[in-house]
Amino acid sequence: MDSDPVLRYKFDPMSNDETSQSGVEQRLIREVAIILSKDPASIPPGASLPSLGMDSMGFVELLVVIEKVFNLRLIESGLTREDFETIHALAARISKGLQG
Amino acid sequence: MKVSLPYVQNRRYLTGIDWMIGALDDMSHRATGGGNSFQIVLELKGSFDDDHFQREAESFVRHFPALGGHPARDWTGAPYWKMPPPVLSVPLVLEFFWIEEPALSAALEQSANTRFSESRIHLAMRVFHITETRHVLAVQFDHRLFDATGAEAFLDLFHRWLTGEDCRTRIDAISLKEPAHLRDWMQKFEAGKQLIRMVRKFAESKLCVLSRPAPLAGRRIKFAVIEFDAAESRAIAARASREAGFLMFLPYTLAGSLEALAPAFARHGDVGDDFVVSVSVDLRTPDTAPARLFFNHLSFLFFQIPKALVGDRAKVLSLLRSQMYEQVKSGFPKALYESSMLMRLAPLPLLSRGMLRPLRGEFASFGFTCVGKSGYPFDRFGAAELVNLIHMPLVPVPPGLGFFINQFGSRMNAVLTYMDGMLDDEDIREFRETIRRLL
Repeated sequence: MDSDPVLRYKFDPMSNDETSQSGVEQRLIREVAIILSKDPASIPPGASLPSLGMDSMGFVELLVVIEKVFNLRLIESGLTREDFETIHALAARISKGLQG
Repeated sequence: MKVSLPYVQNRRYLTGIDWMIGALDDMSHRATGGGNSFQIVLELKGSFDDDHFQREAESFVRHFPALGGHPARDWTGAPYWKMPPPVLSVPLVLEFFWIEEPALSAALEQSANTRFSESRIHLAMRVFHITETRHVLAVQFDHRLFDATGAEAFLDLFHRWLTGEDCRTRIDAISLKEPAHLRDWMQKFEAGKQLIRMVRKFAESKLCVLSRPAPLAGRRIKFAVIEFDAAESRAIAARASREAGFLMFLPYTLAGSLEALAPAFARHGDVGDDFVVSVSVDLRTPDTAPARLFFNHLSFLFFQIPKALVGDRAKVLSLLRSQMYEQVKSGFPKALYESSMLMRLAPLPLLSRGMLRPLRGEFASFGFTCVGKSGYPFDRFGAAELVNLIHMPLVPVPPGLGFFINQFGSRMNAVLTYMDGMLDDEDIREFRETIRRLL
């Protein structure tokens, strides 16, 4: 049952090559694939999260992963569509946060 | 001729959540005489052939021995679902009615409240013909064997069967494997401690609850169905995103239901301080549901909202978002899932009597479920056009009050489900009006 995303509680920490925007993007694809039980190769960075089947619960799980991996707490950041709709946009938001 | 199944194939171990759902079934049965089941209603347009449907339904369910099973325990005490050997028929209620349109709601309510007549019947299909081209199929599922998402996956498979698709691969892919969960006891006890901390926190607060009428026995569960058309549903999604945040549909609809129900609590003299809402969450993803359609793959979140805050939408939304986040972050759904394995030691009647004792008999002001986008992807069911798909769950007593949201295609449906006598006509009228305005 540990394969159920919401039951997962162990996360690999961020590696050095995951600090660039493309590195963040690759890590997010991996995490979204786990949350949605999909093949990472089937997740284009430009696809909107809802179109991939992401719902509120999965999205909160993703935000928790972002806090645990990138040390960024985004739940109180306004959660605007522009910043969160795609993995690409989210990676840009995280990269900005990591630099700031 | 009876064929014995190998030992490992005639049983599916029950998880702690399955056992809790069984306890809720027992609790509701003792309280009202009803059970813990739910109904999915399919509104159909076009032709509908009863004989063909009956033949295909009987033939389809034969592939699922689980539908004729019942709970049992093995020599270690671990509970499991005992499946009968493959036989020519699996118990299934199949009924057909002709009915006038005005009588439909009452018929659906009666259908949803019908208790399975035998302990080994877990599925009922009732077809209501209104005209030659308008029909309603009500499928009643035993919650011990299906959850809402699993039931939609079951209907998906049945539709494929009805249209002549070769379903063997899909049927073979359905997994009934579950370990006995008799290992990692320390992990389960640690999870239990986390659950107890949460229970203590709730036990300290004075819960808002609607008083239940007496006597409870024989009381039905009633339903107020609120359908939103495609344009209304789009507007709700846009407002949810704007006010609650991107993909925060669950907190948004929960905040709306809380605000719409609050006047009824006030009108009936509730003196509690906090609303506590239990929210069921699916542990599967849309891609894994078809292979795990039987039994309950759920856990729960609990939200606690001070009564004084209700009406201040921004504050309630912020609190709900933050509580949801903190529970996922702390692994509460996992803790509940793990620790519930310990509850399997208790026989169902004992568990159903004792599990709410630390909470003085009440665990929530109401239950809330947001299935989200339907797992049923077709706009047809068999040969007929599928106009809408609505869930009508029997809410367990207690709390005897629940709010359920599902999205089918471009439409959203909301269903308020309540025990007869807990809300009056004025409450329902106001709720219908308010929820439309608030969402």
